Amino acid sequence: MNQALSTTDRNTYATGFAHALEQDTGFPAWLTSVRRTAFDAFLEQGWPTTKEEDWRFTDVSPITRLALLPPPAGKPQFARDDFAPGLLGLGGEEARRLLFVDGSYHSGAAKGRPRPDDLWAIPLSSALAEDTGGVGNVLGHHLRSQNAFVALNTAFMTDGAFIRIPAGFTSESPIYVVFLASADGSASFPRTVVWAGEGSQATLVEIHLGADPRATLSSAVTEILLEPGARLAYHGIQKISQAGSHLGHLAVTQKAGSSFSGSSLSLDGRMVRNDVHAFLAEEGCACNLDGLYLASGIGHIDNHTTIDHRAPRSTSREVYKGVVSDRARAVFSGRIVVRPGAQQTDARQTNRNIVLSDGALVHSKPHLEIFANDVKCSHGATTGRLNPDALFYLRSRGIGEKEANQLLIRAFMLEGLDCIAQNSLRTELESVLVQRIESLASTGAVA
Amino acid sequence: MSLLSIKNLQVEATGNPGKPILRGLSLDVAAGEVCAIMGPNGSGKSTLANVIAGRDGYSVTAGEILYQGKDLCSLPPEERAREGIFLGFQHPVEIPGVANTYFLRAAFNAIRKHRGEEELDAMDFLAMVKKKAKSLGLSPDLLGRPVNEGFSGGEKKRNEILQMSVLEPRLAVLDETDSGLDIDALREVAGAVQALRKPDRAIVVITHHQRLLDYLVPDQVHVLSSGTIVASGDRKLAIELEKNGYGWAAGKAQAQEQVA
Repeated sequence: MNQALSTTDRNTYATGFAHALEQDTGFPAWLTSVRRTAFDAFLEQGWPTTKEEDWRFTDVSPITRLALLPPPAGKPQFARDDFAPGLLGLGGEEARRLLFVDGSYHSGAAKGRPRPDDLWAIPLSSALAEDTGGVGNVLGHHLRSQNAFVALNTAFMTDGAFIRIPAGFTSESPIYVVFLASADGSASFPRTVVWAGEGSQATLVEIHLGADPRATLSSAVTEILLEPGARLAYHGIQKISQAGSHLGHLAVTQKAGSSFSGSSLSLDGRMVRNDVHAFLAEEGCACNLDGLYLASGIGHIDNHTTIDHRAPRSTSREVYKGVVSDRARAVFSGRIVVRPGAQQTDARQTNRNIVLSDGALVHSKPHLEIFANDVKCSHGATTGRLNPDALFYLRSRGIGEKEANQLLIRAFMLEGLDCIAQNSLRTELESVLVQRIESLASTGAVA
Repeated sequence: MSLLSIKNLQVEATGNPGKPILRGLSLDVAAGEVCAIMGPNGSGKSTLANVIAGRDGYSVTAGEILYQGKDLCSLPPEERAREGIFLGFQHPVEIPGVANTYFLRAAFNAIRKHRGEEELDAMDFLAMVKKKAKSLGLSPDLLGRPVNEGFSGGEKKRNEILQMSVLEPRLAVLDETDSGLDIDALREVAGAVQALRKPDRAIVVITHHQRLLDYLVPDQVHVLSSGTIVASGDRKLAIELEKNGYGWAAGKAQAQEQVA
């Protein structure tokens, strides 16, 4: 089913991989072996094609023609003004923020080695160089898919964030990890590793930004391990270039009584694919996933989620909502698995879409696989236009057509940010979202 | 000059051509007047209201609707509203996620802006709306809630009248504002509309029942049947109708046609 690689391609990638290994001399030996295995897996399977169920609606062939350029040598450069200021500076000047440009560390880490009982938010490269903080216990251990992009990320990873929250530690303010895809034609493979200790509590915001009109590719992997009773809020935000591609793979493993609240906000991009794989390994976990996406022009945004209930008494709740205009495409595939023995699972899933024009298209595919008998599971999916009665009601009161459209889109989308506990973060994201909705109108999508 | 002057109006549903809903309807309403349109189900009452407000889905195939001497038909609904036309909905629409006050202020300021008046800030606006809501017996809680969401039938209708009171239209068309109200609520809502009568404002009320007209005494009453006005008169016509039914009015019109 996959697209086998040509000999020329194999040689090109092999040269690139050998080069990447040479660059990262400071990494531990075990990592080199993990990377080799991943690279071999990639060579063997090649690129996914639309003949494969998981990639039926998302054709990655344009991406596969991109050269895998290594990041430019030396300290990474970027111009602040090229990126959405509201997102680049999210959380304000005082925020704890790690910044990466084209996959390489740029700034933001605290000086010196963190104390063992303190919160760690350091570049992955430094954690790996010293092989410290238990990074090796998490990295590579929580992936339940080894598709081409996950494999490539592992093979070519240069940097990313390592977040370690000690047991019992509560972090009030969010940790920000920002990845900029800046150099035109470049590919980057950001890797984020999160280890949330027993009973800890934290909020992590992972942001991927691009600069129009550059064609960039970022293939990111985030691995999260929640120890018993840990609570983590994770907000993933993408506003990549309109010509850019972003593939994000989020793998979460939850131990007993842990709670994961993940949100995803996809604001732009030529091709965006978000995979979420939540593995509810032990009893009594809570997993909430909220997704918002806004595709316009010829953009394509694909959300594939799997919530795997492996043990009794866990709950999952999933709400994905999207607005699609012009000739854009959106895909939602929500898979819920309830394994034998995962009794008293309570799983709910909703997907709602609004299409703003005739040329826009949504593929929505919920699927439940239930192998236990004492469970509550539900799913629902809707796709439609803005409610014409509501539009007329607003207009009949003097509100202009464009404003009425925007008002209804805002009302539909903003609800998706209610899961964000921090008022200031929610307000900041609201204004980013409202701006994006207003930009739809200026391109004539909302008419 | 009439504020609203409808001449020989013919209307069909856009999706159902060749089947006119309004068939040569003419009507004149002057500023300061209350005009009641009565008629059985399917006679075209709501179509008339919707066409005046500019709802999509209808085609005007002949005739015209003059408002302040200008033809309305080419104007989008928001411009009609800004010019002073208000439609009280038979079924007010629920809009989740949009707060009632936010919506009302957006509407209020759009109209003010059109008139070249200064927009009102949120604080001043809220104080004004609260006062008006109180006089309508509408709980202040409902102001912060999403538009009409979870409102009872009576609350929805009061909310319509609140909007009318805030937006201060020159022409209000109230489409079955009395439907779904109990006797007490009907009296209150009718009283609130009565209080909004002004020399420079015309009100067209569409209703099935003459009871509303006990509290809101009309200057003219018209009976609509099969898309045309079949009988016209004053308050007494409404009472006669209540006694004899719509069949009587339609029959009378037929008899008149035969005589003519």
